[in-house]
Amino acid sequence: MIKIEKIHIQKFRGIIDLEVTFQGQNFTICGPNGTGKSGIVDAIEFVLSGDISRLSGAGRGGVSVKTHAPHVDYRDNPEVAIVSLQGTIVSTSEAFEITRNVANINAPNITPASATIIQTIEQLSVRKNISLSRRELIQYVISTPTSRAAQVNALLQLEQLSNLRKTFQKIANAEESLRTTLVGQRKTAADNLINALNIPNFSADSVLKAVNGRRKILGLPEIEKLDANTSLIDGLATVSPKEAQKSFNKKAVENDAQALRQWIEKVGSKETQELLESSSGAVSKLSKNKMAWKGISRQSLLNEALKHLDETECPVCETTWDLADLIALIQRNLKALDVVVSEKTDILGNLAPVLSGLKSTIGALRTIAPYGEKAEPKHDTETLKKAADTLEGYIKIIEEFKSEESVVSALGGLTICLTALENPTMEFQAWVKGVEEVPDPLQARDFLTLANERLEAWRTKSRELIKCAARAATSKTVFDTYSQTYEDGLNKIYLDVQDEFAAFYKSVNAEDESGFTAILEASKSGLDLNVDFYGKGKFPPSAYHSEGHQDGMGLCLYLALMRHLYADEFQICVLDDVLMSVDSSHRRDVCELIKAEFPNTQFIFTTHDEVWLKNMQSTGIIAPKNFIRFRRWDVNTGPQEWEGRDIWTEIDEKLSNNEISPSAHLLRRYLEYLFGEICGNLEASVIYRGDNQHTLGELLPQGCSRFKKTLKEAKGASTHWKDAERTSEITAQEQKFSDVLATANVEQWAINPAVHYNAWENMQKADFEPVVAALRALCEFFSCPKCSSHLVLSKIGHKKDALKCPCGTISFNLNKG
Amino acid sequence: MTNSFKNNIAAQVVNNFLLKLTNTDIDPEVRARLEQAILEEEKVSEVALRVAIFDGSKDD
Repeated sequence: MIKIEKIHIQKFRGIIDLEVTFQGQNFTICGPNGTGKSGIVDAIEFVLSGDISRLSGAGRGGVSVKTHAPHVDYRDNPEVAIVSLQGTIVSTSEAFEITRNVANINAPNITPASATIIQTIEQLSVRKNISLSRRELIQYVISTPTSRAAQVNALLQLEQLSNLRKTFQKIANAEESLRTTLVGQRKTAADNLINALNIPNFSADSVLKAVNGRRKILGLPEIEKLDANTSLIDGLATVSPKEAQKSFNKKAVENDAQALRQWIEKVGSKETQELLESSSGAVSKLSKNKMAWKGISRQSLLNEALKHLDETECPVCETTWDLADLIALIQRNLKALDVVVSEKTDILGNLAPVLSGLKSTIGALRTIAPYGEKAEPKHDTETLKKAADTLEGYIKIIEEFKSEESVVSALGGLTICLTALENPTMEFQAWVKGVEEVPDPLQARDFLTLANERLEAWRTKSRELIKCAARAATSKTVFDTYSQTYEDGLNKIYLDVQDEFAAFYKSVNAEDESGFTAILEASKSGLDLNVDFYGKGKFPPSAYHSEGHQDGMGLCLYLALMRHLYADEFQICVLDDVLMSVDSSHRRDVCELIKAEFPNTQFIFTTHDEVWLKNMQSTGIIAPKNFIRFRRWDVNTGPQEWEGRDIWTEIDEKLSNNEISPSAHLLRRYLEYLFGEICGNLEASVIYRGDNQHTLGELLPQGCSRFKKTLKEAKGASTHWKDAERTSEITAQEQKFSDVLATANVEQWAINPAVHYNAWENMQKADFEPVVAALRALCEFFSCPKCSSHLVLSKIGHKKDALKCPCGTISFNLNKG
Repeated sequence: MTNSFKNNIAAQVVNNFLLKLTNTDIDPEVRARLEQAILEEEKVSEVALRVAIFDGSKDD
């Protein structure tokens, strides 16, 4: 695992060029919403994994890393969107640098390319759980059991296990389905044999009794034992196929026709009709959800796509895609179909007995139809043949379940078809009854031929069934064993995690929920989470707990899961503006929890809340200077970070290159930041803006006015304490400030936004140097030359005490006692 | 034997599964083929699992 030392982000997301130094330690990025904090989170995720979950998560149709990761002005030049990260391998202390650009996502440049470093980066690249946003956090707590299970499985990287289970189940189901079909087919073959022999049941004795009676008529020896290879026509002169085709065993045909009649009555019963109607209603109800129906029809396509996806471009239109993104998208869509597919399975499950009966009816129709040609006068059985084909077509449509119209139409068609079969069946039975009996020897020969043919059919189905049953048993054992192991494994994880989760949550809410417990358990629908509510029972987190408590639960569950997954290897974690609903005191407790439980994990936080930043500093989970603060964001410049920068040297360098426009832009943005800070530090009155996006014209005059007033108050205090020397110093400072301010006011026109954007091209270095000098001189009044910190108004209670810097070099007393 | 599983939890579940298979009536050769198929491929296909379980194609 690694620690992050430094990151350099260029033309990526909302960032133009930004370098942040983490030094392998906890770090905070603080700033209002929309100032570019999450751009750093995206950059860390991108450089380590090649992915940005915000661009590839659910509901991100049309958005992709390749197209939308570059800064908006460079979306057509993804090769310039680059992130470089310097880090250290914790176990070996090896330093490394990884650079990845959006044009070539899957080929990062890693130096040095040692085996340890490459392996570590590869491990990181498959991790999708380094960062946690509030959107993800809340999914652990208030989502449905199904999505929570998916989210937790994804976090624990157990999709591979889940997919394996699904495949084992699919194989076992397919084999069991085939076995069931073969059982039915063997039963039909046995029934056909019983009908042909005209015996009450299928046993070796009854078969031999019926067969030996006919063999005696033909003068053939009796068969003593019926085994797997016994031929009922042993000794019978070879029968030509033409003759065999003409054989007509009247009794057998009557039995076959009666069997057909019984099937038609069975599947045409009132109960069956009601089932067909209710199924039709269920299909129509399901189809009211157009997306659901579209999803069902897409399921097989999506499954096929998953099987064959192994290229980075579409084989049809050659559009390039990110393979991992596409697979993840398809898997998410398939998951979303689970409920709908479950309804489809229920409908088909209810219809299964009817469909099975219909298949037997089709078998009976196809058995008797050829008899029409085998006796005189011939009987037209075309209607029966067509009915078999029609019924088969309807069954296929219903089982494929492709569209509402076709399924509903097929369900209706079954009734019509069965009703239409009644008369042709009765006509067929009447015809058979009228067929003249053939002489005994010939009849006996036909009897034996047909019986042997049907016995062979039954033997074939029996052999197929034995083989299939063995396959079904094997696949079921494999699936059952795997499922049990998988569920045991998951339940053990959940049991371990629920206790740690509850312990973390209790430590954050010790004062009012010290008895907190939680139950995390696998259920039929996914993963249930129920938590204690003040000893009143266990409920889902969203039932009674506040949003802030839910946020806290989400973070605690995430941390418990990560510890379970990585143990001591949980060494890096990015928390992107999580806990926004948690109040200040509980955030302090969260800081204490992180500090106590995860001392070896490097946390990178983003927050828009200055109070939480101060919590983090005061509890010591970040060092005092381990933060950057973004005040503003601009589409042309990205987020601006000012603290620790030598702005004046940067401006001088730009001026020396005669870059007037960038110099003016930088100067203006810096002054907006600086005077924002000054107004805050000196408690100057500024027009309130909800978005905190003040202009320089609103800040600079107010800050200067407040400074002058404060100097005046300091002079009043020194006069009060009869400190003439100090009074004289302050008077001189007042005069100097007035002069500098006057000069600055004269030169300020040059950084007016209108001029700044329209007239810079006409200005020269010499024109702008006085502007910089005047404003620099003005700015110097507000900072300490020794510690470089800005002056702050300190108070005792509500009473002003002094205007000073942290190191004490500058200190104007305001207190008159 | 390589292990394509991304983390210890997943690898442990699979190893337990293979161990438990030895206590069933599953042919040891089937178990050996499953071990090879599952542990050596990150995305083990249905076809590969069918071959492992049945030692041949579906129509075998």
